[in-house]
Amino acid sequence: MSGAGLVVRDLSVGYGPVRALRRVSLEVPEGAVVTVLGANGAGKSTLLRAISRTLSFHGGAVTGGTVTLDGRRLDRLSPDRVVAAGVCQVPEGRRVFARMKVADNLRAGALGGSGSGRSAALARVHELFPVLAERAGQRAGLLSGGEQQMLAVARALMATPRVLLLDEPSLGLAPLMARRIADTVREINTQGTSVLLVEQNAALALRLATRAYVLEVGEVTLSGPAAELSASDEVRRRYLGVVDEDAAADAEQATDRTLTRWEG
Amino acid sequence: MSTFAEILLNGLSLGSVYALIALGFVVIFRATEVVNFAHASLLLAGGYVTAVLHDDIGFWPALLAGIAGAALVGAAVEFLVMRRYRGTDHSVLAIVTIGVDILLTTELTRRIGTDVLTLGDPWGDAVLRLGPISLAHTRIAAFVAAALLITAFLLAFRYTSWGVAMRAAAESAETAALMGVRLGRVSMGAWAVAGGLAAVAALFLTVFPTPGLERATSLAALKAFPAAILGGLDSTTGALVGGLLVGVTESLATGYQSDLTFLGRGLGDLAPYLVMVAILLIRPAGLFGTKELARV
Repeated sequence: MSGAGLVVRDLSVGYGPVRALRRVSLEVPEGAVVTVLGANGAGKSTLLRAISRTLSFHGGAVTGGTVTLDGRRLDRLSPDRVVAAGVCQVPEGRRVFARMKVADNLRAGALGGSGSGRSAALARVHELFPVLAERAGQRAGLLSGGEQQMLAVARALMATPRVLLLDEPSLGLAPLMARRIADTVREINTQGTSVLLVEQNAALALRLATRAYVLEVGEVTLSGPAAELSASDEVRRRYLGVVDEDAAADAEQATDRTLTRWEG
Repeated sequence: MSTFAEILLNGLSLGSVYALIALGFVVIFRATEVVNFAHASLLLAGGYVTAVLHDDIGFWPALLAGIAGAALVGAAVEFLVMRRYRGTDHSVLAIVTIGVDILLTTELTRRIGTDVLTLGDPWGDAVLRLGPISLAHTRIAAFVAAALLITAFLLAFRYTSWGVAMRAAAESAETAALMGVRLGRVSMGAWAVAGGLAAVAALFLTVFPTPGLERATSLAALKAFPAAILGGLDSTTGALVGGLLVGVTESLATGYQSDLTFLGRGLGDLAPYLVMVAILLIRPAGLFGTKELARV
């Protein structure tokens, strides 16, 4: 693995005696969208917590491995320094500050940034999500689920991160709204922000990502280009819900196979 | 009627001082979810610094030193003690604050001894007479100072980055951390602000008609506790309303003590707690507190 972008190497995490991640390695190259797929309890959110250094809120700790951004170690920093280094997470379940106004939520998001360029960041999120400008004075708790997800993403963008960590952005949203969020993620990436996307909605995630990793019980069991993973019989059957007999044939026909299976 | 108006105004003044203390409770609770039982000792520390310095450097510099001293003690307690226990159950942290309170109060009462220390305030025992109503200058000063400080605090809470960080941390510490909020700084700031407010409250709890700062002053500070609880421990508005309610209740109960002798003596001290219990029976989260909701 090269040192450019976000690199996770041999990361192990435990919650007390329970090992939640075992020697997980992945890479988010500069400007890429990378997705991590997996069922409930596979360790997807734990992976993001380990990167953003918030495991301690859940009684967890990194027991081995490294996380670097352009070669700089992040795994010994406090959460605020991880944000300042350029990695910001949108937590699962949106977690907007419900009692605060939309505008104050965005101000809170900017607290982790450098301070300069706040107005540019605000202009960017208002351009991405015009509804947030219209509802600036409204309490965040009164927004719809989709709008709250927009606010959660916008709040993270206020810190002008280089890498955006998205934890289940489509969770609980209507298909139309999930597609809209996906379009926005694509737009954010086009503007130069790398994205590490953790999703249960594998179809959506694989459409967005260039590379994908499959996590099972805390271990990376499959990784490769997203297009190839989409065509893989195993992924189609287990994560895309495709059960037709052509799936295996499709997978066989996929040329230039570069999927790698973990040999642990 | 004039007696009633006088008692009411005195009660509002006293209540505004309680509101300052209650605001300290609330600020710490919102920033850290810890009920701070060491608040009374912060108040005593601030008052003590002002009392020992005013002869040498004058009242106003001594008051500033008292505010800074109490803020420093608060910040030090957070940094040296509370931070070490971060992530521990909040009930445990509350008990830790009782330990801190015992340590601080023991040292301060040892220093104060049996003395009654004056704080050298410029108002003395002067009284303003408005027709039939008499009002001590100290009471007016207390009300004005508390109103100014509370207004400044609320503006800062709403409009500054510090306020946004504190409100974010109060809603969800983890999410605030994900946004880059420095929780340690927010928590230390809350303890420092609470200490500073307590030092101002110490001044107005010990000026005329009270003889001065003594060992029992910290007990008077505890009356702000029902104020914070009945207002709702996580509500700044609740702290203000609760403080005023406790002040007026205490003032009325003391003022009409002679008409209430059948209830026994010391009703003024008891009344705030009775009001707190009555309100909590009707509204368990306090008047403005956030109700705990659970998805089922």
